[in-house]
Amino acid sequence: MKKYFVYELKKTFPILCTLTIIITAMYLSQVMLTSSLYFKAYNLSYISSIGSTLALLIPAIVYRYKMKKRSIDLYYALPLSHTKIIVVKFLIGLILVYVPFTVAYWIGAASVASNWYQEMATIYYIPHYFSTIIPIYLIYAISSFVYTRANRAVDGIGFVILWMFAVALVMAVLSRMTSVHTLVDTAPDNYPAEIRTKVIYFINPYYYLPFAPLDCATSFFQSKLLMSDYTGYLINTDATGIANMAVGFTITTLMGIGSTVGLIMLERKAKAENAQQISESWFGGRVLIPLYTVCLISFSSLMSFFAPFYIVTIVTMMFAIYASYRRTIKIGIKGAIVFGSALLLGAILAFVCNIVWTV
Amino acid sequence: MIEIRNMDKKFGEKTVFLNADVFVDNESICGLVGINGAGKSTLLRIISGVMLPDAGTVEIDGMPVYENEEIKKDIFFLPDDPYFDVGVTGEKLRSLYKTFYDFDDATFLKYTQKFKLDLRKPMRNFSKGMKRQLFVSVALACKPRYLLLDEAFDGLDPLARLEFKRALIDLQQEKGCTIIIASHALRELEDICDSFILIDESTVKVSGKIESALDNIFKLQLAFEKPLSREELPFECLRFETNGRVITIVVKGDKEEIMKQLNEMNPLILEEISMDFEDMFIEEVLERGYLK
Repeated sequence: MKKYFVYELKKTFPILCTLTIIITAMYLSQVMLTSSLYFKAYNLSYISSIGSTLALLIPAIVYRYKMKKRSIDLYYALPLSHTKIIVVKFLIGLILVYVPFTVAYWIGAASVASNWYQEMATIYYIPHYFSTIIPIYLIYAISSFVYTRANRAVDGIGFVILWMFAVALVMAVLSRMTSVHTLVDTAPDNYPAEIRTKVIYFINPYYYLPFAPLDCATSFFQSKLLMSDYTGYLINTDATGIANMAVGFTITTLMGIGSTVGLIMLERKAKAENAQQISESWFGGRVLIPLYTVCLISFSSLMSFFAPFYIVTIVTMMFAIYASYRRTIKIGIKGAIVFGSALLLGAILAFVCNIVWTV
Repeated sequence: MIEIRNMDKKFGEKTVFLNADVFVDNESICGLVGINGAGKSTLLRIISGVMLPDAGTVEIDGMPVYENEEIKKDIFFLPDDPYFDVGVTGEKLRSLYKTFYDFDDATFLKYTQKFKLDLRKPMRNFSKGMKRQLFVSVALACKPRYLLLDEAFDGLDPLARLEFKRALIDLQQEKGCTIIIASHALRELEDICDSFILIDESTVKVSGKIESALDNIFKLQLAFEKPLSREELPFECLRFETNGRVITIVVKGDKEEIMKQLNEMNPLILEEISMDFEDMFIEEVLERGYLK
């Protein structure tokens, strides 16, 4: 395995160098071109976004060998277990994510720090960097696992995009179901009821996005860079905010750990003949498409004039995604039952969500 | 020895193998033949450990192949359309295989120089035949104990084929390599293979030594005073064709006995027409109704 790792590293070295140069140039030019201190601090979001984008996209490069019959013939014929191949590829992917990110980060930080801005506590670049390591890893691990559930590159990218928002989407539905309306005391009595009521959401779906831990850490340290006590616009320090962060970040962490373990343990069962076939994994379109259909339909306000247009748009969009995934417009009886059930469940949830709970 | 027992393999609804047994002796050069879609490439992928059968065992020298790194170090599988990354050169291909196999640089350079291949140029600029020549050079340089070749001669010019066949024989004799070649170029196979496996209808229909199989099947041209029908012959024929009073038959069985029976019928003409491996293959698959 060590020899194979060294081989892959040598093979990937040109891509690594190119990526590092491009990312560093992008970040450095951004840092140097921003003049205001506030935006210089805000550039932390820019580099964090680069890190999370790398974590999201690099799996499509390192695991592409699984998506073609010809490449799988090569790799699976080698005297190396499937597990070792994927572990090496996983590590190479981590290098492709962290090295360009790290080089760009510190060169950018050095560029800012070299100006000795008195209004900026540049020392916070250090803890911020270390606060990004685990969140970026979690995004990478989830993206790796989900991408490799697919048998085609296009499906893999689709699965990754859908999974990145899946948990938050479910939480958004739960958020609507558990929201309550309350009368605003300060509003005059003669104001219309719609204006006098405030909706309280107990669940904030944002914290259930895999990017949320990274975003929150970045937001926090942006404020610290500017020597402010403000915890950052993304961090809500009330009880609901803390509970949402705790649950959301825990879910993301568990998904990341589960993805790492799943990626390695399930690789032994990977079949060469699945390459380029329709992806039948339960972690893919089979579950995601009905899930998205249910959730998106549930967002419709049934009494609204636009509800039929909204529902038709969602159904058309999900059918197009389904047809692309299954490579046919013929959904068959099974597909029709799944779609129909998803629509029905979505409608039921929409009805439940439209019930106004008032306190 | 390569031993496959009770193997099943399906792709979706399509059964490729059903309860198939395959045995290949060590140090033999075995031709793997069959009609299109018979499962030749699938069988090679199963033997090389790329695919796992749905049922049955696949063993080399008594050890299972799938996910067995030790055994796979002795196996080299060259598919019909081998993969290479964009921008890969002959040099980079050598680096890949050197990582995993006991690679003989001298053999690699000998053949790449013979084929006049520029190892610094990207393979995407090579013709089909040149790519095949490069991969053949790699396969020979890896000097595996088991060499599995899918459509080995496809794309090679006649001289390159000759060179390749010589190299395979050398590999077998010097290293005791067991070679399995899947190919539709049956005349090429006949030149170097000592045994064969014919796959048809999800199983191994015929296998064994090519020489013995050819001894057991023969083509005769006959003529009698009066026209003769198939039923009048005292034995079963694989093929019976008439052209006026001249009859051409293909028969399987004891040649001496059949000739004796025919001579008793006082034919005007009784002549044996030589059959080669390709003729034998055609007769075997036609008998099973292929393309009828």
